[in-house]
Amino acid sequence: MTHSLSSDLPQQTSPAPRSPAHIIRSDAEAIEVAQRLAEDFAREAALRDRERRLPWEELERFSASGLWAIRVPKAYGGAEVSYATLSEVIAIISAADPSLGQLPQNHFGVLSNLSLTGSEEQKRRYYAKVLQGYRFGNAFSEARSQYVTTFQTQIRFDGDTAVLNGEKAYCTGALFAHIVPVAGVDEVGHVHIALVPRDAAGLTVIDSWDGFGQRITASGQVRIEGVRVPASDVVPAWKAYDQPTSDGPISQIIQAAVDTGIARGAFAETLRVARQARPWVDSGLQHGWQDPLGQALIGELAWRLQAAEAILRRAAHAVDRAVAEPSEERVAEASVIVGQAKVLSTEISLEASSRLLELGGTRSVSASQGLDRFWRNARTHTLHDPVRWKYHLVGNQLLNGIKPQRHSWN
Amino acid sequence: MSNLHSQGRSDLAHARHVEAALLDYLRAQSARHEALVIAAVGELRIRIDAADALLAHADESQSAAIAFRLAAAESARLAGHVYFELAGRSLPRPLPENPEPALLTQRRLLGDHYLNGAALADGQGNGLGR
Repeated sequence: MTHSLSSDLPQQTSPAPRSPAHIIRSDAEAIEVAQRLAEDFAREAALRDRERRLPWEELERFSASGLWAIRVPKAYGGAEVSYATLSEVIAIISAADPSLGQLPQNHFGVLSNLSLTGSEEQKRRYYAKVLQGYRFGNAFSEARSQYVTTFQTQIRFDGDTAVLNGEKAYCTGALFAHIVPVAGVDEVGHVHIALVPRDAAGLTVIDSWDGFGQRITASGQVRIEGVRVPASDVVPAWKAYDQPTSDGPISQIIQAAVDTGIARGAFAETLRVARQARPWVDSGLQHGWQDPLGQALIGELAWRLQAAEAILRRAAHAVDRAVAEPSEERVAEASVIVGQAKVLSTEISLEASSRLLELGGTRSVSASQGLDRFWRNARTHTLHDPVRWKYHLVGNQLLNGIKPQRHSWN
Repeated sequence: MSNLHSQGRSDLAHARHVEAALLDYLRAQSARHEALVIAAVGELRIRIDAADALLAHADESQSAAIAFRLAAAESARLAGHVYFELAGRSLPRPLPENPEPALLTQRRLLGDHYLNGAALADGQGNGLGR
């Protein structure tokens, strides 16, 4: 099939991958590939942030590596790695550049929803595309709705065609995607996801993201004006929440993995700058690295980071159990432990990125180093959903036996 | 089992004991449905589970043992605080069975280990300084 791009699309935009992606075969290979890519991505992370240089080339290498396909089921030719592995992959990439770690977040969420609600034909078709290197973006969050779970974008079915109209915000990944999944609500209130080609008529991705953190995610707006797709390109996403499924915990654990990665990156930089810091005049020490008060602060960061990582692993195992056995109990358990991972990763990403500057001293605020990006990225990404309600989610199950509500923020 | 494990386990057990008493108390109160109360209970459970998750790895290295020790201490500290806040009284925390390095010393030595590669003490806490 030949695609023609309209002239107002960025020249890098493509409705299909430039070349076939590598196919990863195992969990171990996924980790190895992620570590190699992370070294590559770390080199210019500060520069990309400072110049807000959109990561077109980096994303090509990222999806061509096969990492975007690691959750494709084995029955369809993928590695179907565990969520423990996926979380670690996201954390590894996010430690190097959390914008790059965040960009596949919704891609993996869509893969999860496809596995739960897609038809056999849809699974065959879209898994094959993902194995080839296709990237899903997202056009989910509404620009003006009262709650994040309230959808206003409309989808109407007209025979074999679906027609969509609406306006979306925070569309991470849409600019760089080959396919933009658009969430729309039908006449009876059911939410569907239409898998819209990036160059579809009526679909406009606006690079309006001006957040002070996660600057190169291009998490801007999408306008959907009379977009038409075959009904066979629409999955009944609502079914994933009509019954207990792991869809919500999967969406959330990727968030926690991004923040854990930010914390790892900030902690590593803290050690680097603290080794170079000069001693305080009143300490009587020869070197900054001898400072017992600084060492204690680093010890505090170290154990809190270890705790966040331990809970992230525990949460990933709970998600794997919920995927294998999507009972009400298993899904609630996964939501609660993933909620704990969200709390601990939020706390340590913010604390580590702030202590980084404190322990580096005044020289660490030089704009040329870009060390502020860790805090800006942590603060921005951890606003995805308010972590104060995760304490509540955990407490309500424990105290009152009330299970978390089922939606993609739990 | 090292002194660090022993004291950490004692603190974690205390935190769980206080949490159980708190839940018993709150379940007889209408406040159990208040958002702030629920969130406070959730925060305590998160600290307890964080310590528990670190306990699972505490035998892997001395730094992991200290991490568990510090997490367990935090869970015990928070348990006392939340119980006082919500029940208006305190539950006694057991005295340590064995001497151990001060927590702030353990925190510093853990930092020295990560920052400067300083060796950590054996499983009995010897060499951690007191």
